[in-house]
Amino acid sequence: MGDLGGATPVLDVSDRLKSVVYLESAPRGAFETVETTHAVMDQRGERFVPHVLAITTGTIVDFPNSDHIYHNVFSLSKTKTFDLGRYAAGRSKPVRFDRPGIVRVFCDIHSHMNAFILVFSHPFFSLTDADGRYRIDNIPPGTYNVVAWNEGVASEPRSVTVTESGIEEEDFTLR
Amino acid sequence: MTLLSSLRGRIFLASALLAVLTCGVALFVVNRRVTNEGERSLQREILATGVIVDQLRTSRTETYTITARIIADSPTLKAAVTTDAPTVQNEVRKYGPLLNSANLLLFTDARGNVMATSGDASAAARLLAGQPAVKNALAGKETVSLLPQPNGILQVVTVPITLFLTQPQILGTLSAGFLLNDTLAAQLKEITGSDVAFGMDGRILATTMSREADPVLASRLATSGVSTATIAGGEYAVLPRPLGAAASGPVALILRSRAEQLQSVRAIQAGLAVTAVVAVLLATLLSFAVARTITRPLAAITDVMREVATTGDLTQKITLGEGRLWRDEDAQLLAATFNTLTDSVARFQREMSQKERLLSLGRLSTVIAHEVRNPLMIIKGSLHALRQKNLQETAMHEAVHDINEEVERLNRIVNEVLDFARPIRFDIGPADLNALCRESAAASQAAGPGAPIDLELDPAASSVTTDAERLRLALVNMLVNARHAVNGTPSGDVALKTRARQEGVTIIIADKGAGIDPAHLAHVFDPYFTTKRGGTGLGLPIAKNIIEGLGGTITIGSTPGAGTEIRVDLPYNSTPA
Repeated sequence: MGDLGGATPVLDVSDRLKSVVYLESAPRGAFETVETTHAVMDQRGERFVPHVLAITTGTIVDFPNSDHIYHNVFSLSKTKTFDLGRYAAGRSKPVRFDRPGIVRVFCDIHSHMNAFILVFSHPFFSLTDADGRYRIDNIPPGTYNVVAWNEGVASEPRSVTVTESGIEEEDFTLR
Repeated sequence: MTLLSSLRGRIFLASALLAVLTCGVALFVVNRRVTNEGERSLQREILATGVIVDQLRTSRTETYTITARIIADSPTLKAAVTTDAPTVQNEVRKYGPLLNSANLLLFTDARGNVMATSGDASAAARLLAGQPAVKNALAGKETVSLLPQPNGILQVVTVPITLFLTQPQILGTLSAGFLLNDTLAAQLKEITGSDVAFGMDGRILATTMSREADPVLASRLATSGVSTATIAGGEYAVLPRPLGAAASGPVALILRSRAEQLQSVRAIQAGLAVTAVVAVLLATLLSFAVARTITRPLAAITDVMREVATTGDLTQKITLGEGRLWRDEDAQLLAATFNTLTDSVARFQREMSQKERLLSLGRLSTVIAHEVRNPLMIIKGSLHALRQKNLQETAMHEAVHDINEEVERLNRIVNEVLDFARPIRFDIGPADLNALCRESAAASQAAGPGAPIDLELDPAASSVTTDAERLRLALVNMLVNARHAVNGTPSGDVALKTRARQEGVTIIIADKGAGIDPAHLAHVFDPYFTTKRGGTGLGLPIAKNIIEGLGGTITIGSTPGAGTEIRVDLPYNSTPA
């Protein structure tokens, strides 16, 4: 814990500012592309980096250990329950997420370490930047329910109609 | 009172009383000290027990708090709490061994919904979920709460389950509680030796006492400070200690039986009493011994004194031995002084009798000088007359008569002296006292002219047993004296009276003559003491010898110018001395 210094709290707090905005129900045809991609959730400075990871189903997430200490990655979430066991620095273990849902990831050695992995069956989701701005591209025209999510708290779905060439704006306020 | 009248008794009594008093005072003082000390120690013990109970509860609470924090920080628990109730319930099984004495474990999620419970008090757990403790924990505050249960008071620690180190995110709450029940009370009793009860809202919920004591104990919940309660005939000191901050909240009652304290006090008292009794007995024996050592020499001295008094033997001495008896200096001094005293008395007696003899001899010389020389001179004169040549017959007869008379007189004097010097031999027989008196009066009147004698005789005094001859001699002597005394006085007469009394007879010879000079009165019974010419000074001494020899007494009273009275008391039956 001593290695963390004062930096972690700051990062801790800023990590939690990131939110995910996504379409509750995706348009037909959006599920077709089933190609295996890789994402990375690093373990660095006794933190999962990034704190929030949004992926599509079928993605394999690698959990490398970039610290010089042992770490463990486990989840009791219904979407994906796994326990990678404890492993030393420099090693990485993969987990494939096949079901959509929210997976909360913990380290059983370091009780303050936790992260969210949001698994979607479609590609229409976006992580906000530090200022809370987001952008979801290439949505087929239609009316969709949009949800904003932050640290396990989801907003009420909002109906947004997307046109062929228009850019819609929708602001969410959580907490 | 006989105890107080002797020196030994007083010394003994004083020493014994002193011993009893000392023992009594010591007993009283020690008893008071012991009783007070016992009460103080009881108070100390009960306060100490209160502190122990508090500390024990505090340390257990701390243990629970720390353990709850550790459990709350478990990553798997955190992971579980963010899922669902069955997952948490499954997780809870792992924590049982961590808090094996826990009567309650309760997990809620971030909204305060019950996720899992464990322990005996599961029902209470659901109740707890609505309590402020959980709300406090959801606000990030650890809270200790006390909940009344049918079988005791549930002491619960509620801690938040948090994520992150700063601005922690609260995932849920964890409550861990233990019951202040009969079992815990029994444990406390084992540690402290005091009875313990827990109560709240006027009800006793757990106790080491019998359930019958509950009403009495319940009445003490709202009191403060040590008070006394009687439970099942036993006396107890009761100290209430509030468990929470609120005055009306749950209370632990510490009870300490006075029986133990009383028992120890009684044991000390019994010991003291035995010691006191032994001490008093020893002191009594010792005082008795001391009193005896003081008075034993006194008894020895008294014995010798008594001996001296009865025998008149002044040569008797108190022998001062070397034994323990004479170790006492005062007794030695007393004995030595007594010995010196008897020596002195013996010496004085010897000197007195020597003087007496010389005095008697002197008086005898005077008597002989006067009483013998005078007749001798008369005889000499008569003989001279007889030698005359031309002696007439009448003159010769006269001279012969004179010589004869004087010789008789000399003879009488010699007889009297001899009579007085010789011890008297009495010839006791029945006699008529009144007749004796009449004869004596006649005889004394026949001796010469003078006052008449008035007889006043009590017929009841007639019959006596005495030596009639000697008694007559004594009476005549006294009557002659009395008649001499009234010679030449106008109212001269002599009275002779007899009177019968219970224990004897009284003879009184009274005259109204010149009386006797007080200076002479003391000597009238001394032999050869006389104030008369021609007297031998033996009349009254002889009379006194005879009366005393017959077992009687003789006393004389006289007033110069008024007269003299001699009183003789005789027993009815005289026995020779």
